Parts: sequence; structure tokens; C-alpha cells
Amino acid sequence: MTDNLRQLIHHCLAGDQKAMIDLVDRFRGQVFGLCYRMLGHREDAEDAAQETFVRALKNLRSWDAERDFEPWLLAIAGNRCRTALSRRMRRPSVLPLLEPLPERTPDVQAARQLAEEVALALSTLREQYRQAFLLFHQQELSYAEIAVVLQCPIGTVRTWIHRARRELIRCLQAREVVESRHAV
Amino acid sequence: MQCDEFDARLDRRLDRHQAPDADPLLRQHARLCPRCHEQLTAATRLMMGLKLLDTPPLGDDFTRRVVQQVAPATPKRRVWRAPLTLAVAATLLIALLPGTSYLLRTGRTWFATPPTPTSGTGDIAYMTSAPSASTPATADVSPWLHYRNSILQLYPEQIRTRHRQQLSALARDLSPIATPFNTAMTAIRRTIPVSQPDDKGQPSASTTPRAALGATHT
Repeated sequence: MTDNLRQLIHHCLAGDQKAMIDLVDRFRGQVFGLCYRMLGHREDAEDAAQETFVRALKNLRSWDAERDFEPWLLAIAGNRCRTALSRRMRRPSVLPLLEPLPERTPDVQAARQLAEEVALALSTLREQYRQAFLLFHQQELSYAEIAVVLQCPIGTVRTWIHRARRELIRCLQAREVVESRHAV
Repeated sequence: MQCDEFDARLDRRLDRHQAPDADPLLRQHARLCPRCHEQLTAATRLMMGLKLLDTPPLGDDFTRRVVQQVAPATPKRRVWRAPLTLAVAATLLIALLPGTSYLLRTGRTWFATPPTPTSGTGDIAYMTSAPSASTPATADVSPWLHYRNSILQLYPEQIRTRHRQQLSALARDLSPIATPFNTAMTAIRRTIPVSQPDDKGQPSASTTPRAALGATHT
């Protein structure tokens, strides 16, 4: 962790609002990205991201300065997403898993279609697999960091990520997203 | 290369965040094996798709909302009440000025020396033969008694006597109120149940003032 971040957190602990703004701005994209991929719904993801930062800033004293800040923050985000998902399961209405994206040019449309297929495949994954996979491939956290976030052994994290990959590949194959043999 | 070797090598590349189709060995095997070809293609598409995943923009006021919930509330600005205070002070000054000028002219004071309240009878001068208002005061005299006595001091003796005679003529059958003013005040205060019941559940003596009052009146 950089000294700059450490200093920023130190100022946040002292109640400096400017430092709080800087800290939120620094990680908001990362936290919101994870929440959005986990929940597949913009408003829910924004709420979860907001709760994440509020909790993190309120409990900043409980963060162990010897450890990295990012996994700690993403662990809170993961917990908020799990809470939101369990809340959604209790709710009678069914929310759309994917937000409609604006129309684009034909070239971009193919890319968009692929992204939609991947997002759809992701939504079929088990919650833990999905989180582990996203933390590894999207947030580019190491296995050790993901183990901290998910509070499980590194071996388990590795297994979850590999299984997630296999399931996603199977899903893409089943939906005929995979091109014919000549393309490779 | 065997298919399980292909799988292990593909996993390793993905673990290192490397593009799967950029490995010549994997491509070579995939050309010969339809199953591994599909695996490689799907893995490549998956990684491409992940990079293309679109995340909608976050609201502009997101950071502000977060910090607003966390930062301690700023104290409200105090309204400056000096004009109001000055107005009240001026009103009081205007109200008290005539009385003060009168006292200064006559050489009197606002609060005259009250009589001894422990006398038991005759605090009200014209009803009893108790000491007059000029009796020296004691430290425990209430402010109300101070005030009453100051009024009495300003009240001429002749008028008081005449007033007493008129009252006697009008109400011959009425006995004068002998209870001293301070005794009455004390009795009234006792009606306010300030003390707790004792351990037997009985109210304390201070909450039953009627008996004391009755004894004095009869």
C-alpha cells in the first residue's frame, strides 16, 4: 500500500472531509464495478456501493494498518452485495439482471452482444464463484487478497475461480457464442 | 500434447492474465482437437467479453452523499439575539424609571425592612396588633414578604386605620385573619407533594397541610 493512501486514511480518521472525498473518489469505480457485476442492477449497485463506503469510513479505525486497504474495502462491498442479493430473494418482484445499454454502431454492436452474453453467463454463476472470478479477472486481485476478501483459504479461492471459468466457458458454448473452428 | 495438459496450460495462462490464444502450443493442439479448439475459443471470447463489460456511470453526487452520511453535522449558526436583549432592557428601564426617581426624591428604597416573620401573628398590620413594617428583618424572609412590607411602609398609618374601621363596620361577624402571611405561604407550599412516601407507604407530614391550617384558623 502506498504512503499516499496511508496518509489519506490517516486524515480521514482525523475527520478531514476533503480526505474522505478523495478516498471515495479513488475507489468508487472499483467498488461500484464489483457491486454492479454482482447485482446486475444499477440502483441496487449504487446503494450497495454507498453503504460500502459509509461502513468503511465509519469503521476505519477497525482496519488493520498492517494489511492492504483494497481487499478490506472490497470485502465490505462483497458483504453488502450478499445482503442485497438475499434481500432481493425475499422480495416478490423480479428485477432485470442486465440494464439495457444504449444503441451503438454495428461494429460496436457485436462487441456489445458478446459483453451481454458474458454478463448473462456471469449471472448464472454461484454467488461465491462469481465474486471470486470478478475479483480475480476484473479487479485483478491476487489469490491471497481474494482469500482475505472472501475469508477462506487460498486453495478454495483457486478452486472457485477455476470452476467459475469452466462454467462460464460451458455456458458460452451452450449459447453458441463460440465461433467455428476456422476462426482460431 | 494431451488434452489434460492443454487444460492445465490454459488454466495457467488465464491465472497469469495472459491471452489464451497467444500461446502457439495451445493453438497447435487446438487445430487437431475439436474439443480443445472450442475450449480455447470460448476462453478467448470470455476474456474479450470481460473487457467489454460496460458499467454505467455513477451519479455525480455519489461522493457527496457518502461524505454527508459520515461527516459529523456542522453546528447550527447561533442567531444573534442582542437586538432582542437590548429591547427588553430598554423596556425595563423605562418601566422602572418613574418609580426610581420618586424613591430618589423621597429618600426611600425599593425594599423596606420587613417585620420578623417568626412572630406567629400580625404580619398583616391593619388586621392585627402585630409589629409594624419597620420591624427589623431576618435573613430568611421571603422576597414576597420584602415586597409586601415595602408597600406597607409607603402606606400611611391614617389610611390604614380608616380602612380597618370601615372593614370592621362592614363585616362585624368576620374574625380577622390571624394566620401570618408567611405561615400561610408555608402551608400552601406544603400542599405540593415534594417528599416521597416513607417505607410504610404513608405520605409524609409535609403533604398534609390541611390539619395544620385548620388548627390555626379555629
